[in-house]
Amino acid sequence: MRRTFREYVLLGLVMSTVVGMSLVGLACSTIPARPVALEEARTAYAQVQQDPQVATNAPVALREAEEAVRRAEQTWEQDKNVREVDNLAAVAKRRVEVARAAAEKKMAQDELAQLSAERERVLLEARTREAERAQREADQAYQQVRSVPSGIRY
Amino acid sequence: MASKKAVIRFLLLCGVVGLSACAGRPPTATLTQLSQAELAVKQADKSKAPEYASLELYTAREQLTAAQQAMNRNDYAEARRLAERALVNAQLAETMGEAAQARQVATELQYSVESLRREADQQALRSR
Repeated sequence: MRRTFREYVLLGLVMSTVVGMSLVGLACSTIPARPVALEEARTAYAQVQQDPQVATNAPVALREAEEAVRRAEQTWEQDKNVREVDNLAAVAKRRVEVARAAAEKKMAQDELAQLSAERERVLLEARTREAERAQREADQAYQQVRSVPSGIRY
Repeated sequence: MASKKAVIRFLLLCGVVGLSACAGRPPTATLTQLSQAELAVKQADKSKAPEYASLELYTAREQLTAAQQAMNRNDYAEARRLAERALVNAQLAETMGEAAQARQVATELQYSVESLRREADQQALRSR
């Protein structure tokens, strides 16, 4: 009874060792692992793609980011050159940031144009109001002059 | 015996010629990449990037220097990679700088329009 128990423990140890070793072996055999930078670039592009402001305001930069990600993916598929793919992925991540910055730039410029027009409008309104006031004052003065009895006028 | 020597000599010659071919001229693509990166960094330097995106511009400049150093030790693959990075970072710095500047001018104009409108409203009240 005691002996069989010990045997079970031994068997368990041996089994777990074998399983552990094979897991390590499996991990080593799936070379080379997909670069983290590639995943990051893909995620970054997926996020920026979802942003409607980027799609409408920076379509060219967005396309360039997409091409950069695709280039990194293709290089990874064709030859598993980790250094090359890491570099291309880093470039792709930057392209995504360029797309964001380009969208921000376009939006700020649009806002600027809108504000310039707004400023012109406010200035014009103020000038119109000023002219109307001057006209009104002139009219009033004229009425006062007219209301004076005619004998005194000359 | 003599023929063996000749073969060795021939192989050595081949090696020397091959090596000199490798070291002689860098690939045109790498040269193009490097000059493009140089141009982009120069352009970013002249833009609003030093003011608004100094970190990105600094990174681009560092990578460009590293690319030139890689070129000098004939590591063309590394030079090309670094030039690619420098180029995109320079473009990022420039775009970020322009965006930040446009945003700042827009904010200032916003204040200006608001104060103009307040003034106009007061004027309207006075003239009534």
